[in-house]
Amino acid sequence: MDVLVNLPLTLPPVVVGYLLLLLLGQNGPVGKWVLQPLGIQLIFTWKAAVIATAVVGFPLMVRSIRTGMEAIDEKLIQASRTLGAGWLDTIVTVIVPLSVRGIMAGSILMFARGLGEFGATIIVAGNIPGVTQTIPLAIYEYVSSPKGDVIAMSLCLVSIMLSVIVLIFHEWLSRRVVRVD
Amino acid sequence: MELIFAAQKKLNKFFLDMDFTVEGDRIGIFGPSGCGKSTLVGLIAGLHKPDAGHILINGQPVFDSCKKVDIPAEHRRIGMVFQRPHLFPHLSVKANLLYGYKRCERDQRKITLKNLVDILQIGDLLNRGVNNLSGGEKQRVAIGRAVLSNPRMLIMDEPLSALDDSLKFQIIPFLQKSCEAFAIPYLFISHSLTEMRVMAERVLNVTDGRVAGLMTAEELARSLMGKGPTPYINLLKLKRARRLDGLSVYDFGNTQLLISGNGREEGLFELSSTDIILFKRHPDATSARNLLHCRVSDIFDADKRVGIELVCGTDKLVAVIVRESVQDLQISKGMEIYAAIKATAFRPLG
Repeated sequence: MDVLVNLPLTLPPVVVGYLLLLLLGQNGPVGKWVLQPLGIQLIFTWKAAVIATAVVGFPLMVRSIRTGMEAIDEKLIQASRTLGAGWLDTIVTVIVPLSVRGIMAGSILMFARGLGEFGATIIVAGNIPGVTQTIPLAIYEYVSSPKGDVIAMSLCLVSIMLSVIVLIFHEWLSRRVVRVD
Repeated sequence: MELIFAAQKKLNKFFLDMDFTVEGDRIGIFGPSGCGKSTLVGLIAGLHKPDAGHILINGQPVFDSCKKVDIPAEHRRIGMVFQRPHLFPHLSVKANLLYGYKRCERDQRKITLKNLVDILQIGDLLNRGVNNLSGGEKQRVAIGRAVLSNPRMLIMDEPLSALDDSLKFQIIPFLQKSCEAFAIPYLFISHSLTEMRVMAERVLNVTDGRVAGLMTAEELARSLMGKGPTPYINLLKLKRARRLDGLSVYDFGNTQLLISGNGREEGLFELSSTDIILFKRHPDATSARNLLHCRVSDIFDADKRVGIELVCGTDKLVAVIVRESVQDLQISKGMEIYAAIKATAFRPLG
């Protein structure tokens, strides 16, 4: 399970995108047997871009949440259970509130990774302006076209600013994830 | 309360295999670190699952491998006070206290927040965050949280070992009062003989995952005499202090004890058995401020020494002397004897 969750972190994003295309495409198992009967079209829509970004960034979020949860003292969970809380109750009232910083830090990291996602998105969602074009895809297009340098540079600056803000926020949150009790 | 335990649990190289029945409301589980005390209480509370066997509380099985009974920890109604408070850091003191109370069946809610707050003297803390409490306050809240869950039994897993000596004996009265006021039987786990003698009436002596014996706390203390570097310690609960020439005077049996320092009206003191000097006849003069006229009620072996139990009216003391002294003084059961104790030999606890 660990390997499966962390696989998108080490695989080239293009490979992840291609595998998603095989899975969700019209002839893929999910596309053919699940999506088509329900009349859902994913490939080359913004939803496919969201899925690709989520899959690529997912391991970062899981690792951060895991670190947050592992920092919780097991005795707090034992205390909760001896006080009459079942497993679900303990998860909702103790584990999740104490992991909230890890969850937030993971979400931010995933968002930051999503901002830079290129390979998987272009494979499953294409590069359709106004529909599936993300900042990296737009930069790629403007750099490739004549007289697109200024817009590409502007988008680069926007991208850098967003990344810096997100990473500063993540760093601040990470430092606050301390072992409780 | 009646606890029947006959179960086994293997944890890596450690093997717990115990079979005992114990009755009483103040039961101690004593043993050195790593002997299996915490594993045992984890099995009773449902935090660990035995490999095989059965556990019954007041005749009701909470675990039975043959009958496939395994009541989850949250339904066993066994409150726990841990070595450290382990309060929920994201909740206020009041929310911590009410955590178990809210999850308790309505018809079982006999202890209320108000009653408990009065006993534990934590009324001023209710709206504070738990990170702003002192060590003693945290442990009082942890006791309250467990008691307010209205358990049928309380397990205290070394609740005093993380506290310093002074704080320890400030917390003990709160533990005792809470359990007495709400009639909650408890299992008290500790490797401290002093704590065991203060908190437990019957003690289960645990060694290396096995039960080495079931005895009273006093019998346990005497069985360990001479086996360690610490001599037998007399624990004296003394009352009615008054001042006399810089000393505190307390009633003891049919006499009085003079103790140095500004004593409180009521307190627990320890007195080493080796700090008592015995005289066959009344000495004309002695520098010791306490000279007690006692009767020898028991003589027993204490490894290479001899324990002498002395009765002073209604109270008892134990002195430890070497065998040669017993012969010199010709001590025998029932004889009258004098015990000299310096006023500085008493150490207040708490």
